[in-house]
Amino acid sequence: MAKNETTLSLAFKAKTQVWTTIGMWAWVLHRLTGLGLVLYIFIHILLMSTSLLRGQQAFDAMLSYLMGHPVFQMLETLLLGAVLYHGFNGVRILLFDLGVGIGLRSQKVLFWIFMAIAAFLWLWSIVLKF
Amino acid sequence: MNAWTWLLQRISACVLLITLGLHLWFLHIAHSGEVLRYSEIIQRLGTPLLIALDIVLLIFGLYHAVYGVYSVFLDFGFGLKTRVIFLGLLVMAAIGFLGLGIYGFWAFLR
Repeated sequence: MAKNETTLSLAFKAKTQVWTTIGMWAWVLHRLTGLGLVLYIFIHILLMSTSLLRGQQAFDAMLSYLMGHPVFQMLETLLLGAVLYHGFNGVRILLFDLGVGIGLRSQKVLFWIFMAIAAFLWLWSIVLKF
Repeated sequence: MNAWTWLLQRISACVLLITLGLHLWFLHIAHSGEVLRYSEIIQRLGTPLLIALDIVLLIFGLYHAVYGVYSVFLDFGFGLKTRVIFLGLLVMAAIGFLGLGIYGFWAFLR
């Protein structure tokens, strides 16, 4: 019984410790932003093309509604944040494939450097927009 | 999925870093805060280079999206039949969206 408890607690510890690492959260967020961006690209293509089917006036009306509405402006800002995160974390993954920054410490350092650049660009775009 | 589709995913990522960056800059960030109009988009798509850039973005973006979604799907450990059906649906959706996207460009340029 005691042996089973030890085995279980070790397994639990091993699985839960994964969630305390930056790499795990970077991976989860990369997947979530990826799925969000796929949803967006499908909606983007669908809206642009179908409104063009209805003519120039319908296209302009749709764009002025989407680009002028505060909710969609906020969503656009979130979208750019997702693009920046996915892009910069993607560069980090590409570097790993090339054998750059795969050490335990350098993985974290690279992550924070890229996130600092992404955050700067995101804030800059927000200042430009509003 | 094999080594070539994986490599193409990495290549598409590199292409997207450039094309999506330029697309966002030319169509959104450089004119931030302004509401775009049909005539302005026509003007911005006026150079063959920008049109080519957007078509490359469309093709590589859809490939990257389909491969990415399929990779996430594989993590759930479904059987071969389910995987083939899901991949087939994804490819069909991508072909449909590619057609819609190309129609969009054609509608702008005609």
